[in-house]
Amino acid sequence: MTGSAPEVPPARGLTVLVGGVGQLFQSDQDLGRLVVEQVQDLAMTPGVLVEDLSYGAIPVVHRLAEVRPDVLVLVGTTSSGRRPGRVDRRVVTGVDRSDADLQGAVQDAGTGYVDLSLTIEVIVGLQAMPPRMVVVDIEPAETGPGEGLSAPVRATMPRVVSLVRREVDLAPLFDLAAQVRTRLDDTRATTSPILSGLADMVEAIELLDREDRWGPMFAAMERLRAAVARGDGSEGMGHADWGMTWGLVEEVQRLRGRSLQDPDW
Amino acid sequence: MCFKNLPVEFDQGGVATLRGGVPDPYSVQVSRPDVAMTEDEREEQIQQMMGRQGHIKDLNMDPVTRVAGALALHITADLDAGTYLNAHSQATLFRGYEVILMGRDPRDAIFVSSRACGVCGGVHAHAAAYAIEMAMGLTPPPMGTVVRNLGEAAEMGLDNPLHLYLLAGPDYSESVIKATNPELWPRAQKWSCPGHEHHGFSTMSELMTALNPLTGSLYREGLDFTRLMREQFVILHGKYPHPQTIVPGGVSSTITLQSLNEFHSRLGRAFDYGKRMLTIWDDITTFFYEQDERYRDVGTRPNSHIDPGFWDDPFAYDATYENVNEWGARRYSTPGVVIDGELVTTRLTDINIGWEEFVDHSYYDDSATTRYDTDPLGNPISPYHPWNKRTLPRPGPQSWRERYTWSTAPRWDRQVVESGAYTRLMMTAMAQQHPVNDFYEATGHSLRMNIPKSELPAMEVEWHVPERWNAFERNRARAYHFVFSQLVSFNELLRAYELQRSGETRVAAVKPEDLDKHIPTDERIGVGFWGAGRGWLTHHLVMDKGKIVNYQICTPSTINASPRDAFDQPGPYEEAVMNTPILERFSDPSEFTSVDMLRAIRSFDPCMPCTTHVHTPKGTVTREVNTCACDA
Repeated sequence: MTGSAPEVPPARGLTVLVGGVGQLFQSDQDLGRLVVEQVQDLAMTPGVLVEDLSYGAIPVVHRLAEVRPDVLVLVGTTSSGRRPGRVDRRVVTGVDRSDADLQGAVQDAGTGYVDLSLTIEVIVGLQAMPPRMVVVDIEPAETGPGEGLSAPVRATMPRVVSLVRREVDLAPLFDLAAQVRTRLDDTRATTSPILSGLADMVEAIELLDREDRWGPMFAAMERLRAAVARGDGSEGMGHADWGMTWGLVEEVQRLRGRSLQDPDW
Repeated sequence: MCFKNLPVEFDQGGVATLRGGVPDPYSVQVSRPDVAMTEDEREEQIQQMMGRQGHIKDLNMDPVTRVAGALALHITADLDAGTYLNAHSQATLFRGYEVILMGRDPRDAIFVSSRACGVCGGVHAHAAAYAIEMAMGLTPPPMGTVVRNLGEAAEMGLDNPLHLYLLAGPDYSESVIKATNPELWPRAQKWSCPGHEHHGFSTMSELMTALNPLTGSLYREGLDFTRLMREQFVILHGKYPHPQTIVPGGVSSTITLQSLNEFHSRLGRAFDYGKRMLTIWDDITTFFYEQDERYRDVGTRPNSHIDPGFWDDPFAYDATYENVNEWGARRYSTPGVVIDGELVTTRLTDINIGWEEFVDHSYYDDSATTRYDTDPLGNPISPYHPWNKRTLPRPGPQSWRERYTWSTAPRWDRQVVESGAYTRLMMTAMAQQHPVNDFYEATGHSLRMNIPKSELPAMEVEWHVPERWNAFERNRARAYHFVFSQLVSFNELLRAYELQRSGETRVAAVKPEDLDKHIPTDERIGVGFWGAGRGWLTHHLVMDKGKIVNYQICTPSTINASPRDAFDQPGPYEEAVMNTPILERFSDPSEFTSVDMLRAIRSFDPCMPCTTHVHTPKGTVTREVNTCACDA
């Protein structure tokens, strides 16, 4: 994959920012803040920051400019008519909003509103999106003034916490897959079982990201490992290519072990 | 000093008493202001016009801010005549922080009230601390007050550009002008900016392009600059928004020479930024006035303002109500009330005892009590005063004639007043009682400011109290207020260096761990007279047995967005909209954006935090990952 492929970027640590967006004493709308309280231990991991981002979206943009995370995991509530307590996870690649709407979001943020979707819109509108942004979004049952969570939202808390932890765990895999995807897209190297295996592997990881399907990824890993064992590589594969290949395999193996340890993970 | 409506008299020493022989003196039936037009008369007039003309429209500008459940305006407009006939300002959700604070340790108010807003990140914490330390009897040491002043000047430095470039600025940008008043664009292209040498834009069209939302150079610069000022705040308080270093009796920060130097290093950039900002907003104002005199009417309302002052003299402030007029008079920004253009008082006691909050058109039960007849100095206060009023939410149906908002109707001497950062300039300029300093001077009708040299040369500027307040003058004055706040900051920074040199580095009256010993068990009251980026901010506290028994927050937007009061007087937003001409060009009513009304409202810098809103962002909803135990 060398030759016309891009230079390997210098080694760097991945920075993951986990941010909760909540509203103190506003019943279920406080969830994001409460979740980050429960995952503070993640901050012991190098490169992982866990912060309460329950403040104006514009200061959040400033914070992103300081931290420059590779991955932002935002957690909070959005009232959108779903079943109370429903949890959705989505990878945000943009928002379907006109520039006028995005400016409206900035104005709302500037007038003091704190809200998960508003935070997302302002991040997008002010072009502060990190390379990867994942949102864990819960439908609140109660949104008025009040202390504590409603029963349906309280019941989701363990799952939400687990989901946030999993996003942090998965972050290196998705980052590596994105790097491999870039190299595969740019390469002019001849095809080979290893290159095909890598492409399958990346697609399987993207499938996992979209649909939470693990099986194809494990199967792709086995095929790739077999191809590597046979030495079915392409002419001109360099150290970086081999490193990424083995990195993907090892990362998937690590995650398989992790999923076996914790069925709820 | 005398009140016009409340039956309160003052002796020569300024001591107030209720006028004798007035039964039930605070009854809304007894002490009433003169009102030009009652609500019934206004409605009848509109009905008659609607009968004659078919082009009068009822419009819901909901939301003015885009967030559902935020600030909404219901307007009746005669689109042919270009006038707004009626307006109702509506805050549609209740957040209840005053209720939440009941029964809590008063120190919680510092942290809880701070969360009431996502943009006023430090002012509520400060106002709460002022109220609590008055009740507890704790006087901050000078350095504690200096650090508060510096932090709050930085917060103004953050807030004002945020408003001018990210919120209000786009209303004057190329993209908006071309859409709403395209006839102005060719004129803007030919109009040479008088302030070109300072801000660098040759023509108004260039400047308008720089104001374009999301992409304009001034917009982007404003975003970056607010970050710089946020850093300045964080140097002193560790965190912004919602600092955790504000304590009753001072601050808990560790202030070193290094932190002061780091603060200083950012101040020079603020001066240069301010020099450009002034000339930009001077030019915008001049351009619009030259194009159409009627722009002077956009957002205009009677020249009645109120402000409790801001930034204390650290050697005068003692946190007592007994000396409130003495330390109030020493504030960098002078407290005051202006009614119809006349400065009627600068005493905080007068400001306080004339203050009432009405809920006749708000979603609250009648909340007046007679817990206190007087303030601690014996001056009479109303049952509607914040030390007496309670927060009793009562949700109900919306009715323009009955109740339609969660905002209350604060009034001074039963008169409608507005508040803004710009009000500080006016009070300080007119009162001429500010502390002696090297950077600004009041003349009675203006404020002269000397902006020190930084990368740009020093600059002398003068802000004049406008004869008529409107949207343009509010924005222009906000730009000057930015400079004012940074000059206060510099003066206080120099004082901080002096205190450092003299070893007076103590920042709190007592150590935080010793505060428990100072919580009184008897009944106490306190008030934090403070300010926000948008103007007036007060926290009135009643505590007993070490717990809060009443807590009343009054923000500038409570004042400005207030509904009709008990006397049918519209609130400031409502007045401003009804006085605004419709200058927007449109061929079809469906194209009407109401930009003139939006300029009027945004010029107040509305701050209406609450609520959620709904949308479906582009992206991939990968799955529902719910394991909810509640139902299917």
